[in-house]
Amino acid sequence: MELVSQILFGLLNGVTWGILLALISSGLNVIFGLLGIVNVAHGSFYMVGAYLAWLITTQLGSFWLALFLAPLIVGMLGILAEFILKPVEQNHTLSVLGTFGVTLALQGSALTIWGGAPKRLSAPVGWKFSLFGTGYSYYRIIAAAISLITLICLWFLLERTDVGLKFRAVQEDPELSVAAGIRVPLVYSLGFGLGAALAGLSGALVAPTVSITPEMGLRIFAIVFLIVIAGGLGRIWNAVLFAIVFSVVRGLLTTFFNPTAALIATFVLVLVFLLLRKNLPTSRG
Amino acid sequence: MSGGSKRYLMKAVASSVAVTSIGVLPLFLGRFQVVLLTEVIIWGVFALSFNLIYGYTGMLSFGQSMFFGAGAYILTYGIIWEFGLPLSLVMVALGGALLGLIVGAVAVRVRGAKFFLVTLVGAILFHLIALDNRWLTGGDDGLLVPLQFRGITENFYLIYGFGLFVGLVTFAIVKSPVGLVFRMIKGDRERAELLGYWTDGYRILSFAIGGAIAALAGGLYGYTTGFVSADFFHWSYSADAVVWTVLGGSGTIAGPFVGAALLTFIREVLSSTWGVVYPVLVGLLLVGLVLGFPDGVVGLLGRISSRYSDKKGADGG
Amino acid sequence: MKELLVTRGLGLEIDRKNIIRDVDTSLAVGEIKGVMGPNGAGKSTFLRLLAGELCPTSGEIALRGEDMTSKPAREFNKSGISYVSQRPGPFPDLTVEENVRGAVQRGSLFSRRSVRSKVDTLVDLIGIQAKLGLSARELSYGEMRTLDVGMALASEPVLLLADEPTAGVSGDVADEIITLLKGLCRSNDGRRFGLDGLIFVEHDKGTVFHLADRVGFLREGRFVVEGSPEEVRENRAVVQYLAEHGVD
Repeated sequence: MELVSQILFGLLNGVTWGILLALISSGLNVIFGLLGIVNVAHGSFYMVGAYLAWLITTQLGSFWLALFLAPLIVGMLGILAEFILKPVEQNHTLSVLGTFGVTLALQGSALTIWGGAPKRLSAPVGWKFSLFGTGYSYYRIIAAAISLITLICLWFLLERTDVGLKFRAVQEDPELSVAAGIRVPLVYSLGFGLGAALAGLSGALVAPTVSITPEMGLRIFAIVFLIVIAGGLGRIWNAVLFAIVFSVVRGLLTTFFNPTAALIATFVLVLVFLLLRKNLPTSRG
Repeated sequence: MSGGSKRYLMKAVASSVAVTSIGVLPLFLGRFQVVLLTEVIIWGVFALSFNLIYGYTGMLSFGQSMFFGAGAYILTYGIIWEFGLPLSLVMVALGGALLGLIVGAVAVRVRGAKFFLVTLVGAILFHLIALDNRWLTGGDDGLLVPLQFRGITENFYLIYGFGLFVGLVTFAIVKSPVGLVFRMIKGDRERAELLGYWTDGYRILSFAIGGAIAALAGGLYGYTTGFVSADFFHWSYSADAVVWTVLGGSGTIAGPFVGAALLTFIREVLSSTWGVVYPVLVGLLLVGLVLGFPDGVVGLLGRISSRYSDKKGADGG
Repeated sequence: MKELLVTRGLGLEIDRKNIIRDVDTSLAVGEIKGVMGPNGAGKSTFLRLLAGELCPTSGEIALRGEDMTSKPAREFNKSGISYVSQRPGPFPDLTVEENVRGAVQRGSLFSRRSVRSKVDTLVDLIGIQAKLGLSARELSYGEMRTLDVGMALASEPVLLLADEPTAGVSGDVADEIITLLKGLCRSNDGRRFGLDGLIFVEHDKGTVFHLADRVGFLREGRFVVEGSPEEVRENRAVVQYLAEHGVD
């Protein structure tokens, strides 16, 4: 009975965390999958979102306000970063280096301002329900629900309005897009801003459930980058599926191994999957 | 004398002067500066390993910390098991090369941004594995390298000689026919393939050589500090190698050393008071380099000097 | 007549679009074939398939009876097929000498003397001695195209594929390139870098009918007509095409 409840607990945790992970990946999916810009700083945007949530909640007293403000601020930060790096954004190597510079700068700033010691934020919804003898926070369920709603809105925006069409058009044929009257630089700015805002929102949503450190960005970046590629660039629901699979596998492995070993095993599994799968789907649709 | 060979001679003279003056520097420096200079040479060798893979073969790899950490631990166990320094270093180089072959063989299967990702995930994985296996690595607490006490100057000349050796070997490699293929792959991999080269093979080879050099740097760093820990595998070492190389000038032998020296100097100037802003500064520096000076310091100097000599040539003729 | 290259049912489908459909063609030893056709007919794609740069989705390619279809691009080069692509191919950051040496040294990586002599012969052949020390990006467009031909010859191929080798090149240099190509195929009497066959894509009809022994007219991914220049010139589809694009 003990084992069954542990496994069920791992499953539930995997699914809720997986949906959050999917939200983080969705931002990268817009920036990398649709616009084709490699953005190593995505994890740092997420990190900044988490710090902003902590800062706004402790200073202004409202987590829900933070949830509203963090994506706005991080989105503007994204637009600024894209503006600065515009000259090199079509060159994969240079944009990896440039956005990595942004990563170091953001991470360094967080370290300078708030120090390396982890910050903690208590959950805005305190109640827990009892699950197999352990308490499970309602907040995780709420966070997953907010993520899911955001993902549905994003899907609607990208698949049911002409915004998504424009995103695809500028990457596939910039010249034709100009001819068709699309303002290409503006699309890149807004797309990048949208992606960054999604990272900021997910950072804020996650903030009450993790310890907030300057270093939280790069590791999550590796995970979401894996998810976006494994799911197929630009495919939101595939990425959601992969995010859930990733964290469920990780959650289940955690019930048998220590967390580090579980993470190692999950990474290896995804890597093997990625390498064995030939001809990764790059077509969109 | 033609312009090309004149420039070549100028370069040779400049390099010899630079190398010699670094060699006599310890006579005029305090103990602390000698230690710092020793570290700079190790970091230069480490960045050079990245430069071979990135600056000469065109692969933006984030995996150098894997080889650095592995080299440090191989050397530590070599010393613990009393193989002696020379044999341990041979083991370090071979181990690094073998690891490079394996990592390279995995990484070259994917292209572009995915390549960067695979090497980054590799670096993170190695760090996690090192943290998780305390029985082998000592985890965060690390292991002591059982060394007899050596003089600081003695150690400097050991590292100096080693840096010189690695620099010359790398120079010979990039000037060799194999090095030409590396540079062709950097220019246009598909085109090199159409000219009949098995480019994946050459890319793996570049990884193996870079792995050996990075492992040696890791081994020597452990040997110098007398201590190794799982943090030797941390991805930030890869990041350092990237920044030093891009700052100094990728695709040159001197570049990584220049970059390592400059940033170490900046870090020391900032000292403990301003040390916290160092990472911010490095990040902004990288953004600025990417936007304005992708050739780095050495590339910039080269452009200035060639413009100067062209002008002089035109005036004379 | 002995056949150098044969394709059977060659096809390429990308995103459910047939770029090349069911092409059966052959090239005899010593033959020069010109490929012409409207934009988007698949001329370049056809050449890239023959060069091994693209992998066909159906059909097969055989060089001197040896099946090449599923081999990687480098094996095409090793078997004797060289390719001059539509865009200039020299490595811009390498010097002209390094470009030639890089193309030459593959067969004999560590024999400096034989590489040296081959580089010298090639450099003489394409007449680029004066520019050896320059980096390739400093060359004029015509010089780059000449260097492309030189690099393609470096592996001593039996078959050369050239995609518009003279497009965008000034008249004089274009003539030089044409003369060079023609000479390589016509005087294969023990000369180094002689060719057994040449397939080229060209927009300029004058060049096609002047240089080629056989001409193929490609439209919508298949050869509408193939034959001697005279035959092709008479064909209705070709006549119509030439009328629309100005007759030379």
